Amino acid sequence: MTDEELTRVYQQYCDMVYRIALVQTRNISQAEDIQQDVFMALVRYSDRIRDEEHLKAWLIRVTQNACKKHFRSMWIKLTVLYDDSLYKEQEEESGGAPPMEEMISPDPAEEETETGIVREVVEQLPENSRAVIHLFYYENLSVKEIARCLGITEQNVKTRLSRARDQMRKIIGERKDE
Amino acid sequence: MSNQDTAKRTVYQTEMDSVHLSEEKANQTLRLMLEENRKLKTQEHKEKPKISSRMWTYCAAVAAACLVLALALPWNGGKTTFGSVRMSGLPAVSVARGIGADAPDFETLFSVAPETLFAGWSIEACGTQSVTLQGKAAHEARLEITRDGTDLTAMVDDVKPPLLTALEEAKTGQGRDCRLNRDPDDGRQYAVYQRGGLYITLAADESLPESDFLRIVQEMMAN
Repeated sequence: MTDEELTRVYQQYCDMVYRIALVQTRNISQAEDIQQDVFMALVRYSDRIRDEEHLKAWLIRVTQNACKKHFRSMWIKLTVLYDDSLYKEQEEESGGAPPMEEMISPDPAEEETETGIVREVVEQLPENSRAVIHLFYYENLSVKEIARCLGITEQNVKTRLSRARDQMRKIIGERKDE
Repeated sequence: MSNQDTAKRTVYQTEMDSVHLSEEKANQTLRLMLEENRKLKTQEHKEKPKISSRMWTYCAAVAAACLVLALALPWNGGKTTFGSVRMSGLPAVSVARGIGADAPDFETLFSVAPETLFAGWSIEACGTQSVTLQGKAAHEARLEITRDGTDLTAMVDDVKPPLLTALEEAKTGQGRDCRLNRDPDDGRQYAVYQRGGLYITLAADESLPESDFLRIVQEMMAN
């Protein structure tokens, strides 16, 4: 790839890769490192990329594998998985999420507490469900595309989605009760 | 998907839209990517001659293998015999054939004490399977020795005296170990002497009278 192509690809997909890594790792610095690893791998293996569609799928898959590798590393097992202060810092820098009352809560007073609730809920899901939910609901990938990217069957994707939805409903219900 | 799911999806998307990679990290990553890309491109460019060099080496190896095979093919001219010593006014031709693993190492053998083999002769070329000796006499006769895998070491010191005797016997037609012959193709004359596993062929151009040939050989051996 030429420098111009790499720059375009990076600008187009850096946030996508970063978000997937963030959802998986729940840690800003680790997600940043993972996205860097993924794009450095892209530079080395760019000749394997066939087209734009393949590029996106390749990036998702490599990110997913990098996250798995990250979880397998001994180092991560010995560190705190969730650095809340760093996470919140990023939210503040980005100006926070739009009011939740428009989507979920009818009470504007709940705005502050509801902001980011879905993301938090997603992050409470098991590791293998988080990626499926994110790719389906945020990246708008089809079940078939997710199956291809994650290297699992379509049925497996559907099962994970269904279980994740149930778990999310349960978590949100518990929160509302509180 | 239910309406509630749709709502959650929208909220989730909205929430995630606000998540961006920090500008600092993005710039750093992009810089590293471009650096790596340039490095790889430079590396590819540099590797091109290497590939070419490797190909030349490969070609040279194949050519060398072909040459060895060609030399190893039987030469039916009768001028050179497998496991032979050949002396000739013509350039010597090495005949490389498979030899036993326990065969003596020519290089070692002749480099240690060449003079003990044939006094006054110098080694012109020496390989693991053959050696070419150049006599110091005025003529350009050469003696080429190849082996057949038998234990040559023990025979080296014994070669010269019996050869001289055999040549004398051949001259008088009495020799049993040494035969004087003439190549039907080019008329080259040669004497074949056999002792144990060592075959010695002494050859000379057809223009050289047989008597002179024998004299030269004797002179060379006497030196």
